[in-house]
Amino acid sequence: MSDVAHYPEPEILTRRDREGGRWTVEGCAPKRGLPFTNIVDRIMKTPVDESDMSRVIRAHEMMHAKVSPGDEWQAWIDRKVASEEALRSVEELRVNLLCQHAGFHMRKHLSDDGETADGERAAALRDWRGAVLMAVACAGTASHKKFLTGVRRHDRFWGKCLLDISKRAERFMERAYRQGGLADTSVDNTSSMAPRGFAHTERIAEWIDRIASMEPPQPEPETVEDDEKDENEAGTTGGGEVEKAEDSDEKSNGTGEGRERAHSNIGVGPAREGYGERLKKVTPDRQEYGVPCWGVLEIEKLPLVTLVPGTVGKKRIPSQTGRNPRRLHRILTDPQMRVFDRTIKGMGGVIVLDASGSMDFTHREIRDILEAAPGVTVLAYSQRGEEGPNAWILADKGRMVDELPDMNAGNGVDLPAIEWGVKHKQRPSSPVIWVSDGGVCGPSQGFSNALALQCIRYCLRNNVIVVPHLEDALKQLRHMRQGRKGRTKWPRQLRYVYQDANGSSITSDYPSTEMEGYEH
Amino acid sequence: MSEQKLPDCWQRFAEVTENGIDRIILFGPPGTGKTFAGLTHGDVEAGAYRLVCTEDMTNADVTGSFMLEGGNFKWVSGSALKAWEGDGLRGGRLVVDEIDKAGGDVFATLLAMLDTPESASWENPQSGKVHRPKEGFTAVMTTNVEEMRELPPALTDRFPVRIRIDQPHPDALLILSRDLRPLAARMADAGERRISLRQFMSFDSLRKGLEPERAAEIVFGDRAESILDGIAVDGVSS
Repeated sequence: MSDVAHYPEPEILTRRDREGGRWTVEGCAPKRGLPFTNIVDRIMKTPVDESDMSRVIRAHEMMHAKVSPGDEWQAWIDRKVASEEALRSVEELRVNLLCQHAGFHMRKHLSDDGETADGERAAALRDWRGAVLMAVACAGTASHKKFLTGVRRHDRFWGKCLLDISKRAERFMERAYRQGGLADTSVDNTSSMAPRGFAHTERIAEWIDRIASMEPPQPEPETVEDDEKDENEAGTTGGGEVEKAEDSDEKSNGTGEGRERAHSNIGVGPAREGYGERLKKVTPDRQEYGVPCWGVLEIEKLPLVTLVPGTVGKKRIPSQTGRNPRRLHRILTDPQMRVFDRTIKGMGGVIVLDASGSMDFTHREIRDILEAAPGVTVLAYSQRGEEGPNAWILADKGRMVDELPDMNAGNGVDLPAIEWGVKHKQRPSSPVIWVSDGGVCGPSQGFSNALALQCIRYCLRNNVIVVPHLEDALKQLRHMRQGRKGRTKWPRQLRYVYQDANGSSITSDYPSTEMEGYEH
Repeated sequence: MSEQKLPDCWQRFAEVTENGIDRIILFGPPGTGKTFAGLTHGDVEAGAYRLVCTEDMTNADVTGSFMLEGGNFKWVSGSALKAWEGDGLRGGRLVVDEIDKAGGDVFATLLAMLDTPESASWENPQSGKVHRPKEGFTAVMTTNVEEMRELPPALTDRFPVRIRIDQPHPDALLILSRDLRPLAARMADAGERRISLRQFMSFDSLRKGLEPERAAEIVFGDRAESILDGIAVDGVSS
C-alpha cells in the first residue's frame, strides 16, 4: 500500500439550497464516530488511506455534504414529524443507498467490525428502539449483516424482525429513488424546507419511530436444542441463518413478491405469534403532498362582550364540615344543617374547535358550552388565506363573543391550535378537548396522513380529548363536571389513518381513552 | 457571448467597463481569465497592451528604450506609452500583470503612468516631447493577491474599483465538454484544492482517447481517485 493520502474534494459538490465554497478537510482513522461532515462550517473529516473501506467512508461523507440538511436540521426536528434519532438513522440509510447508486460498494466495504458486538449488546439489554434504529442506519452496508448476527446470538426472532424492518426501509427508499427526487436539494415551495429530498428521510423516519416505540417482541424460553443450534451456527458460520436470509434477500434484489415472501416466517412461535404480522402492517405515509407542514398560528382576540352566568373561578358553598360556622342560620333552614363553608373551583379547560368548511357550529352551541363548563376557553381555527388571523378566541373567563367571525375555510393549523390549547389550560388537571372531523391539512394542502398521525400522537401524549362534534364535547364536559373522566371519540378519518398506518385499530391500542359505549 | 446569465464577478466587470471606469484591479485565483478579459473585454478598439511585471524588468518595458537597428539607435516605445498613444486618436488599454512583483524604480514609473489623466505625463529623452495619455486610455491590473492590503496604498488609491474574479468567464468554459463546465467554474476557486481550467482542458482532451480513470490519473495525479469519486457523488441523480 502506498502512502498516498486521498483527501476528499467536497468543493466539487453542488447543491441547489446552498452556495458552494471552500472546505476544510482533515484526515482521521477509519473508525465509527470519527469521520464527520459539518455542512454549515464546511468541515469534513474522513480517513485518507487507500483502503476500500476508507474510500466508501469518504463517499459516505461526501454524500452527506451533497444531500443532507445543513443548518436546516433543527427546522426538520422542530416539525416533530419524526424524532431526531430516527431522522439521523434513516438519513444514514438514504446516504448509503445514494452512494450505492453512485457506484460505491457500500454492501461490500462499509463496516468497521464493531457491529456484531453492538448487535449483541442491543439484544442482551432488550434495547428494541436502539436495535431498530441501528438496523435501519446500517441497512445496505456490510455492517448490516454483522449487526444482525450479533442480535441473533441473543434473540433469533429479533434478528428476523430487524431484518424485515431494515429491508422494508431499504425498499421504500429505493422506490423513492426510482420515482426521482431522493437526492433533490432544492427548497420546497410550500413548506420552505430544504433539502427537499430529506422529506423522504422524514417520512420513513416517522414510520421507524412508530415501529421503534412498539412493545418489543418478548423473549421466548429457549430449549436446549435451540441453544445448541445457535452455538453451532455462531461457531461455524457466524450466524449462518442470518446470512442465508440476507443472501436470499439479495438474490431477490428487488421489491417484488419474492422479497416479501422471504420474510413471511416472522411471527412463527407460540409466544410471538402475530407480532411479525402486526409489524408488517405498520407502514409509512404515502406523502402525496410533498412536504406537508402546518401554518403559523395567528390568533385574533375578539371583544368578549357577552357574559355567560356561571362559576368562573373560586366559589364558597355550604358544607357540613369545616372550621368556622359562617352559616348558622342554616341550622333552622337547611335539613342537612350545612353551617360551614367549602371552596369549589371551576373546572376550566380549553376547547379547540376545528372551524373549517367541513365543520359547523352556531353561537348558541358556544353558549351551551360555556353554560356546561363556565370558565372554559374556546379557540376556533380555520385558515382563510395566505395572510391574516387563522384562529379566534370565542370565549374566555365566562365571557364570549357577540358574533362569530367569518371562518369555515381550510384547516391549516390543527396541531398548532391543539398545542396552544394544551399550553393555555388553566390548571394541569384542566381538560383540553379538540373538536374536529379529523380532516387535517396544512395551508393550501390536501389531507395528509403524516399530519393526521402527528395530531393523534400529540393528543395521546397530552391526554387531549378528541371528539368529532360539538355535542360530544358538551356531553364530555357534563360528564367531567360530575367528576367522571373525559373520554375520546376518535373521528372516523383519524381512525382510518391510524388503522392504515399501523395495521391495528386505535381503539384497541388505546382502549382507556375511548368513550364508553361508543359503537364504531 | 453566451446567452446564459453572467456570473456575478463577470457581470460587475462588464458593468464597470461599460460605464466609464478607467482603472480596474482584477484579482483572485489564477487561471480564471483575468488577463484575457483585460485584453479583450470592453472598449479595446484603440489597442490593448500587456505588461508582465517581474523583478528583473526595467523601465524600458514600461516607457521604452533606444534599440540598435541597422547601425543606428532608434526609440522603441514601451507598453505603457503605446497604450497612452493608442491608435493615435484615442488612448488604448494597458493590462498590467502582477504589478506587485515589479522592482522599485519600475513601480514608481508605473505609478506615474497610471496617474489620473490630468497629472500623468512623460518626457521623451530623445525628442523632448511631452507625452500625455490620450482620451480613452484605460488600465486593468491583474494580480493573484487576495488581500488588497498587501498592495501598496499608492497603487490601490489609483485603482478605486477592485473585482474578485472567482471563476472562468462562461465564454472560456465553452471549450470544455458540457459536463465539465460547471465543475471547472467551481474548482477554479477551491483554495488549495483548486483545479485550473487548463487542467480540465487537458483532462477533457485526454478522456476522448483514454479511459476517464487513466486520463484523470495523468492530469490530476494522486488526486485522480478523489476527484472522480467527487464527480460520481455529485452526479447522483436527483
